[in-house]
Amino acid sequence: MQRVVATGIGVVSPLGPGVDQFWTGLVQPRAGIGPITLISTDKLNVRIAAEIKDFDPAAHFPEKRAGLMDRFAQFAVVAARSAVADARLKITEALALETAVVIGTGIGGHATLDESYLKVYGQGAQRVHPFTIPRLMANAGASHVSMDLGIKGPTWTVSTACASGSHAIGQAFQMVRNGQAPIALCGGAEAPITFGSIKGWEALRVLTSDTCRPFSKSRSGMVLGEGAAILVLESYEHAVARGAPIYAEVSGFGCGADAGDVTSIDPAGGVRAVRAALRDARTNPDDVDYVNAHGTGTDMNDRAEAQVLYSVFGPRAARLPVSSSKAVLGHSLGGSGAMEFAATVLALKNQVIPPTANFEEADPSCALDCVPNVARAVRIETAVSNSFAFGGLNAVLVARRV
Amino acid sequence: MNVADDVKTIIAEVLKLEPGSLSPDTRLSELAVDSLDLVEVVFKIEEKFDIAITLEPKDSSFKIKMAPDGTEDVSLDNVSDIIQTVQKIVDAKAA
Repeated sequence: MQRVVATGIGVVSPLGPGVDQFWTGLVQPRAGIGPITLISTDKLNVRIAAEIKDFDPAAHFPEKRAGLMDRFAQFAVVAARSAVADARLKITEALALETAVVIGTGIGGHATLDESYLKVYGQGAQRVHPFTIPRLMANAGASHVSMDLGIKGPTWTVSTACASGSHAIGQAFQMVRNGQAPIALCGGAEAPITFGSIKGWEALRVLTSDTCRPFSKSRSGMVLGEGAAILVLESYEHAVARGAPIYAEVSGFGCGADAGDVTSIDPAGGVRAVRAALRDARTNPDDVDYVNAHGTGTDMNDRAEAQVLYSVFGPRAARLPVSSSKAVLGHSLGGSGAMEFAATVLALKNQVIPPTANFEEADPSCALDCVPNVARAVRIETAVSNSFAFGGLNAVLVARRV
Repeated sequence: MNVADDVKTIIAEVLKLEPGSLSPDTRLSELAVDSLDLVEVVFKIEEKFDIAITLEPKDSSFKIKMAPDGTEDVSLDNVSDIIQTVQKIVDAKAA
């Protein structure tokens, strides 16, 4: 069994390009949510989202390459390149054969699907663009990361809706821990700000027109986001041998299924996943200093998540710092778990808890210390990151200060 | 409508070349056309001329055959092969 550490982080986030802007935006906190600009909102009821501003594919890819990739895959590659650079990692030919790539995505090429179907169903076209399939396939993110960086080890995509990024990191963590790969690039990517996708979310009645206010009494729903986060996970030995920067140790992963409702969380399932992750990390609940919540800002999620935390942490849950990054990042579905684990790892590195932004008023039904609106410098040894997905699939990661 | 010029423009656009650099004799293999390029060229030709082309990829070389309805298979080796095939389909459609 290898100890596993995070040595690189790359993000494409609504808070601006690069990890520094991501972290300062989380801590400040700065709004990633704003009016939708990517598409016309004339026929939408919900007109806000956390978009990636000023993302210019031409700045990252030759025109022909860019044309083969949906926006979500472009995000994945840009984040992966940044993560590798951040880890000061040189992927030699030998290392390329062993390095793994595991990337989560909820759907894949949302925009490609939308545009193609509009053409054939809406506009009566006879044909769609010939790259429709390679662009929309869910594994395009993982595949393009592998192609772009020349990585030839185990590579695949995980799709578990809103927990995709966390499951991907969990699987990559297990591979590095087991010695199957010395290094893994892992995380999640999603670009769901399309007309069809937003219509689907509107119909579910979980989006708010206000803003995302996790754990606040005034919360009224989630806000869609987009982006990607990729982490470089590496065996401690490998990292130390090459003098790599280390953000934190990844120490545990737990997951499971509710086998209940397709959209509502069953707190018992969440409890099992958090406990499994802590057991995997050989960590006592009392030693957890911070929880990065799933915290979607829907009435139901935040109440259920509070129940999960009270069950696992007992009365200490009332004073355990718990914050949701979705208040600034929105909910980028397959990208969320990865962005939030990146936030968790950065919290450990910087010994600062990013706040829950947009908080207005405490809600007795989720009575947590959600670190409202103002970041907090505290000693953090161990942190937990929760993801509870539609379909009842839960994934929880544990990280430790190094 | 000048089929030859339009086809050359489309090929140049897909391959990011100057249209003037293409002659009818230019071999597709010289242009490093891969199967996806060819698929994209055919797509753009179909859109431009409002025709349907049945493309049957055969192997990794450019012995790809185009079998439009009513015409025999054509091996696409050079730019002229594409132009002539498209011209035939456009003429058949007009007739």
